[in-house]
Amino acid sequence: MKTRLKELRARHGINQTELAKRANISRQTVSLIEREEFMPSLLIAMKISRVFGEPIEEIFQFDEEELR
Amino acid sequence: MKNGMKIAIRMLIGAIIGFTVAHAAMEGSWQMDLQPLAYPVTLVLVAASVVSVLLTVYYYLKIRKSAGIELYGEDEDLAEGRMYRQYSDATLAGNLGMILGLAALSLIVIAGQSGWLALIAIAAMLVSVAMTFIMPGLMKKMYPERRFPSVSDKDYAEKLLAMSDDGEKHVMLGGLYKSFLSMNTLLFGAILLLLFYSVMSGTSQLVGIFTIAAIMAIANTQYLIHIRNK
Repeated sequence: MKTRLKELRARHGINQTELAKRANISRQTVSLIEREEFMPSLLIAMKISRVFGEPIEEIFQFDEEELR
Repeated sequence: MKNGMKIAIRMLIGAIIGFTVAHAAMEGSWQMDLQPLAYPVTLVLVAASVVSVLLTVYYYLKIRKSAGIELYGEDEDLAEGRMYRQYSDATLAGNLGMILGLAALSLIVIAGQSGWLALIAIAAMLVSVAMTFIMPGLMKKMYPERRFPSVSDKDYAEKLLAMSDDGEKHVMLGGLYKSFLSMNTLLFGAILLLLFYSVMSGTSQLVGIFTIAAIMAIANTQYLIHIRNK
């Protein structure tokens, strides 16, 4: 899974701590997702998607292989 | 090829240890007097316990100071990451302080050593226990926006786990699974070591062996029943 989280954060001018506060998750989780070491649950993905106002599939992208 | 070499070296080391142990057992002249070592070992344990507890207090004060500083942008992220690591280090140092203090106290009682060493070991343990109650209060300073349960709450540990998000649980699971597997291996090794010591020195370590075996049986049953019933 690839993520555009870092890029979106930069575009919105917010740091990991601020994103964590707005999405009501921990900064550790934001960091793990950005490093692609953890695939977020649907709930966390929804929370992040609301913060940026972007659909989930625009933030988290899967390879065709992974979806098979 | 590299793996093959590793396996060969391991087998060679295993064979040497096995031969030495078997040879010593067959000779039956192996004696072990740990009494002269008791005092220096106690000193080392007490000193290590005190240093660990002091480290916990040092990290506690450092985090408390850092938590009050307002930062922005990447600096805020870096400071949060640093505080998180310091909190983990402080918790580890506190736990080690308690374990080492307990080991020192046991040795002092069994070897009948001086009272002042026992007092220091008890003091280190008490400070360590006090820190386990004080440290969670720091979390509220570090993350004021999160609602942490109070340490005095019933089922504090369960409530803390329940309020952790998926990312935090993912990290905890990885750590717990690794430590569970290594704990099993280490305890198994401890049983073999105690068995070897019992046979070689003629001093029965059966109480220790049965205690460790019981701990392993309970921990494994608890873990597997938890998995099985989900």
